[in-house]
Amino acid sequence: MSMEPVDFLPEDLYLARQDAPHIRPARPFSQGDIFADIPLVRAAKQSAKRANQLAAPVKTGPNALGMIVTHPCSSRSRSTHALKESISVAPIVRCPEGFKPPWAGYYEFFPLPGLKGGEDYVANLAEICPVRSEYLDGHRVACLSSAGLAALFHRLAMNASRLERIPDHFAPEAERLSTEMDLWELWVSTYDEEDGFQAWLDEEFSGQPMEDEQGQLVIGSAERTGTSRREALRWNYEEVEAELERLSDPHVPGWHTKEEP
Amino acid sequence: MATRDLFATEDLSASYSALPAIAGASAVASRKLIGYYTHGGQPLVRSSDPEGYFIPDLDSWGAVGWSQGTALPEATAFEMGKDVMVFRFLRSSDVVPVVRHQSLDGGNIFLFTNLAPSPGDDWGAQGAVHELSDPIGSIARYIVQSSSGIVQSQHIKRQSTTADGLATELRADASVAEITTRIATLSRLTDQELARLFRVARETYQRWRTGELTNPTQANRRRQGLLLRLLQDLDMRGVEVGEWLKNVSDIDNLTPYQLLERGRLDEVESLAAKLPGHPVPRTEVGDDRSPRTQAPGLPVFGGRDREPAEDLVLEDDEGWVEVEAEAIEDDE
Repeated sequence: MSMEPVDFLPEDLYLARQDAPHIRPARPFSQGDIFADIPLVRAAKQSAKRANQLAAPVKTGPNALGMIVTHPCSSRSRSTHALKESISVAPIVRCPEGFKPPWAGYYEFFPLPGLKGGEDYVANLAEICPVRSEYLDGHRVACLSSAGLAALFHRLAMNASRLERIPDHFAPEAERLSTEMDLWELWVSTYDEEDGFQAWLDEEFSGQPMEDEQGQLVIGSAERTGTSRREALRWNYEEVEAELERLSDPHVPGWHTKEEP
Repeated sequence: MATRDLFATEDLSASYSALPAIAGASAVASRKLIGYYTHGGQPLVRSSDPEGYFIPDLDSWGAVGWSQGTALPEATAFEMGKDVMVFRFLRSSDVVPVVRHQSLDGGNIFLFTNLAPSPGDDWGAQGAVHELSDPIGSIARYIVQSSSGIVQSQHIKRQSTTADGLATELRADASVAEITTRIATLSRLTDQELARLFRVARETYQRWRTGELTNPTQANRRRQGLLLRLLQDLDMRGVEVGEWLKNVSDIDNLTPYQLLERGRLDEVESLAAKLPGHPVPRTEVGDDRSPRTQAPGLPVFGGRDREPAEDLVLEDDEGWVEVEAEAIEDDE
């Protein structure tokens, strides 16, 4: 059977994008986030100036663009959930001539159409370099949408192993990541810090309320099932989000207990 | 062939003729004549029950109690288009494609293909189907070929609704009724069971399906999409979805259905991902006309012959400054 390469890029690649930093300041850094003016480093080589001396090319400035390529589970501490000291970043360069939709082949490049000034760029997955996380603060220029993340997962898998899956197969994990980041962003907007969210997410979910024929939620109808908020997050995003909103605003109605008239 | 258009929703119920009650039968809703199938001219009826299932007439097909589809709404399901229908017997897993040939006195003649409940059993008018003029003829031939392939190659009754091209993924603008009906068809869960997943009354789910209610909350509308995608993926891979949902998994000794009841979609998807799929990947054409490989459950790796022959030249390679690096021989 003849098979063609799988190429895919959604129309809504970006969740948010702007030419100058810093975008979505409350959103915790995650996979697919794009930064400007960060120190990028290439592999060291023999110094042109001194014998027996290595030299590493370094790039900084507004054109020094890069994208986080590692999953948050790998780029953050498992205990504190803070970013690790060093983050894997793919340098971003202008899209090479001849590389265009449907972006066939060249899996070492993740296309970023219209990233800056309306120009197309690519993340070079073949030259991933470490960047200290403190250089990322205040430098984000774009975040990928859930569909964009799925496309990145797909590209990373193809680049690393030539494993073929249709991009749809990456959608659940992309959604999982996006919804968690959406909620974490809401947490940071409320509490002005990332700490505490992950522990709260591991607490028990108060349950999904009943819905009546009019599409209205029934007060007092939610029942706990022993499921954590994390486990229920994708199925019950709206209800978990409402729980978070109630944390900061007790006037937001709840469904797990009967409300006083 | 674009099969999607064939299944554009069209309510033909106005053209049905009422049928008299069946003597001696119980729990059978009133029915209307929908047409005849050519083999023996036996009638096909559609119940006027809100469930709206398409069923064979009592005495023409199967035993009493089984063929009274109106009394067993969970036993049959059908998709109906302008020129093609597919109906499924959920208990026996038979899938029957039908082509509408012509109208007849308020009813319609439907031509069955040779997909039989058991190999060798002849239900229909395959020859007649082949003689039909285009465009119906091309549709019929397509279905006959697909159906023949199923019977000859696998000798199994069950076939994915998508694998044989008889149905495709729902449109992005599919209605609540279309989505919830497809969920019911694919999952083989009852309205009661499905209602529990969405935390609504059984009647509410039933009314979603029939189009009587179109107003689920945004959250439940989103959940419908999530569940449909999961079920379609499983169905496309030839999984017996209804059975799989109710088999105990190794996660807390719960079934995938029970996990869904608890909102644990991630774990259900994880279980689904472990299921093997078709042994051979299929190549499909996406909406953008580009070829897509439908990967099976087992991983498939790209062939080296598909790698581009030339390297791309990166022109934006300025701004790098060499910084002397201290060579460290030992990390300590």
